[in-house]
Amino acid sequence: MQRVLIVDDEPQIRRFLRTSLDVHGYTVAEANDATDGLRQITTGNFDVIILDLGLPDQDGTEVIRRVREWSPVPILVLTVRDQEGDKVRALDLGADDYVTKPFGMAELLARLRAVARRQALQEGTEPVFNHDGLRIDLTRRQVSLDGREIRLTPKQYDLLRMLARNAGKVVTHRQLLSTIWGPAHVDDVQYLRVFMRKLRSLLEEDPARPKHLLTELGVGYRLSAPNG
Amino acid sequence: MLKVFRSFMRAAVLVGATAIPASLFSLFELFPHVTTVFLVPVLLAAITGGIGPALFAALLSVGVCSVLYFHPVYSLDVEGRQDLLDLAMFSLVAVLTGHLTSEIRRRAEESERRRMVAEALRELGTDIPDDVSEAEFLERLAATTASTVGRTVTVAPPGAAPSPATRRMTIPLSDGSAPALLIDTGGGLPAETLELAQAFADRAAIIIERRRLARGKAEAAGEAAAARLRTALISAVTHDLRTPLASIIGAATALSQYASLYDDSARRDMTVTIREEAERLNRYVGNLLDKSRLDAGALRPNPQSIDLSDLVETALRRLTSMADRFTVTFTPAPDLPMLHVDPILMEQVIVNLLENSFRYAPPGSKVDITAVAQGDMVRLEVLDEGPGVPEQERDAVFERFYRGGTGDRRVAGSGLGLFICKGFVEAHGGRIAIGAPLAGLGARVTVDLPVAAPEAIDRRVTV
Repeated sequence: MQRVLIVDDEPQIRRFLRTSLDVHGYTVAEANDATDGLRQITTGNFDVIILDLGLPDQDGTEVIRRVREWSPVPILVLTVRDQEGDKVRALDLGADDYVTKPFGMAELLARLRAVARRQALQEGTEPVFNHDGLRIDLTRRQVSLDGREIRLTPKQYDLLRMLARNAGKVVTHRQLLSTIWGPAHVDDVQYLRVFMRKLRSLLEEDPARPKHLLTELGVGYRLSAPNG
Repeated sequence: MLKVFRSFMRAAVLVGATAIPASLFSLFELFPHVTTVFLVPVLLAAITGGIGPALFAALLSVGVCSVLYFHPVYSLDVEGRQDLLDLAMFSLVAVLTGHLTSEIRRRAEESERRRMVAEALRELGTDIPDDVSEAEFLERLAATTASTVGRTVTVAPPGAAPSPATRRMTIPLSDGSAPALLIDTGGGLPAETLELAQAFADRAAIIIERRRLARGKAEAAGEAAAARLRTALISAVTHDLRTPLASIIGAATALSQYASLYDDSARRDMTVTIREEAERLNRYVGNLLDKSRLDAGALRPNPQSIDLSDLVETALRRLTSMADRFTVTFTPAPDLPMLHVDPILMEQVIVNLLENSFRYAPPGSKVDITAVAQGDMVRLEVLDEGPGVPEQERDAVFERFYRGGTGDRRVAGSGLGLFICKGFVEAHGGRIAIGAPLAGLGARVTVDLPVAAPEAIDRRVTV
C-alpha cells in the first residue's frame, strides 16, 4: 500500500486525484499549500509526493529544495505547458519527474509507478531491463533488441544505462551530461542530441517514431518502461 | 541710389550723343529745326529711367539746342517762344512716357510677384503628404516663404517672446493653438511682403486643418472597421469555445443525474465524448493563447540546437489518436543538420500543420513529412491527400480565423493554426508557404527553418 501526499491548492484537482488514486490502491493525504505540505512531509511517512509547482504561498521548487535537504522521497511535479524552465529547474533541484496539466490519469499513474520504481533500481534489485523488445542486462553490460545483440560504445552504453536505471522517468540533459561527460559539459546539449540520434538509429526501428528513447522537448529524455 | 544716378548719367549721355548728328544737320542746314531730334533721347531716358531722367534729358536738350543756335534761352522773341514750346513739349513727352513706362514696369513687377506667389502657394500644395508631420510641414512653409519674400523666415518656437528683430505671422488654427512664422525685419519690411507672408500663413492654416480633419475621419473609419471585426471574431470564438463545452456539460450532467439509466457502453460513450471534446477545447485554448502572444508581440523564442526528428516525434505523440488514422511517414535527409529553433514553438508549428492535414484529408490517406538541407536552411514539407488549397487562397490561409470551405461546409477548427505557424516560423527568421501539390492532389506546406551554426556541434565528441 503506497502512501501518497497531494500538494495542490486547487480543490477540484485534489478531489479527482484522490478518487482515482484511491481506486488504484494508494492511501491519499492532501495539503493545500506549501507550508501545510512541508509540515505533512516532515511528520508523515510518504512513499511519493505529488507536488503542484504553482502554489500560493511559496514556489513549488522551494518545497523541493527544502525536502531534498533531508529526504530522498520521490516527488512528481504538476506543471503547465510552456513552463519548460520551471520543469528543468524542478528536476535539477531533485524532483523525479513531471506531468503537464491537463494530463490523463493513465499518464499520471505511469509516472507515479516509474518514480517509485527508481527506488527499487537504486537498491539494485532489478539488474535487467526488459521492455518491448529492448533488453538491457545491467550486470553483464549486454544490450539486445528483439533478440539481436547490439554493440554499443562505452559512452553509448553509459547513456542507455542511465536512462534504464531511471526507466519511465525523465532524465534531464544536465543530469545526463554531468554524469556521463562530467560537470564541465553540462551545457553541451548539442553533444547529447547528436549522441541520441546515433543511439536511436541503432535501437529504433523507426527513429522518427521511437518506442524506447523518448524525447521530452526542452527537458531531457525518457526510456519507455513497462506500464508507462 | 546707384541705379538712379546711372539713369541720369545715361540721360545725359543720350542727349550728348544726339547733339552730334543734330549739330551736323544744323551745320549743313539740312533741316530748319533740329529740336525734334532731341525727342529721341528724351523718350529713351523716359523708357529706361523714368520721369526724373526724362525731365532732366528734356532740360538738357533745350539747353543744347540753344547752344547750337546761339540764341538766348527764354527770350520772348519768336525763337525764344519756340524754345519754350520745345521745352514744354519735351517735358510733356518725358512725363507721359516716363509715367507710362513706370506703370508698365510696375504692372510687370506686380504680375511677376503674383506669379511667384501663385508658384509658391502651388508648391505648398493643398495637402500634407501622409509621411510628413505637421512640424515638418511648418519647416517647409518657413523655407518656401523665405525663398519667396527673400528674407530669413523661421518657425516660431512655442512661447517665444516677441522681439523687435522679427515680425510674427500667426497661423490661425481652430483648436486655439497658434503656430507662427518669424520674419526677419532687418532693413524694413514692405507691406506687400507682410501681405504675402500672411497669405502663406492663412493657406497653411487651411492645409493643416484639412489634414487634421482627414486624419480624424480615417481614424474614425478605421476604428469602426476594427470594432466590426472584433465583434465578428468574438462571436466566432465564443461559438468555438461553447460548442465543445456544450458536449462536455451535456454528457457530464447526463452521467451524473441519470447514470443508472445507461448501460456500460452508453456510459463509456459519454465519457469518451467528454474526453475528446475537452481535448479539443484544450487545443483551441492553446491556439488562442499562442495567437494572443503573437498579437501582443510577446513572443520570446529561445532557440537551441534541436533535432527535427525530436520535434516530429513529440508532435506525433501529442496527436496519437488522430495520427493513428493515417499513414504518416517521416523521411528526413540523412545527416540533416540541427535546427536553430525554440523547441516548444516549433513543435507547436508541426502539431498545427499535422492537425490541419488530419482534419482535411480523408482517413487512411497518406501524410508525408520530408526534410532536406537547403543552403543555410532546412526545408520541411508536409504533404497530404486532402482537398488542398486553391491557388488564390494560398496567402489568405495564413490570416487569423481563416477556414477552408464556406458556410455550412466549413471544417471545424479554430482557423488559427496556420496563422500561428506563420507567426512562430517568421519569428525565427524562417519562411512558410503553401505550394502547388506534387501530384496535383492535396496540400503541400513548405517551411524553411534556420540551421544551427556548425561550430556549435563540431566538437571532438568522445564516443
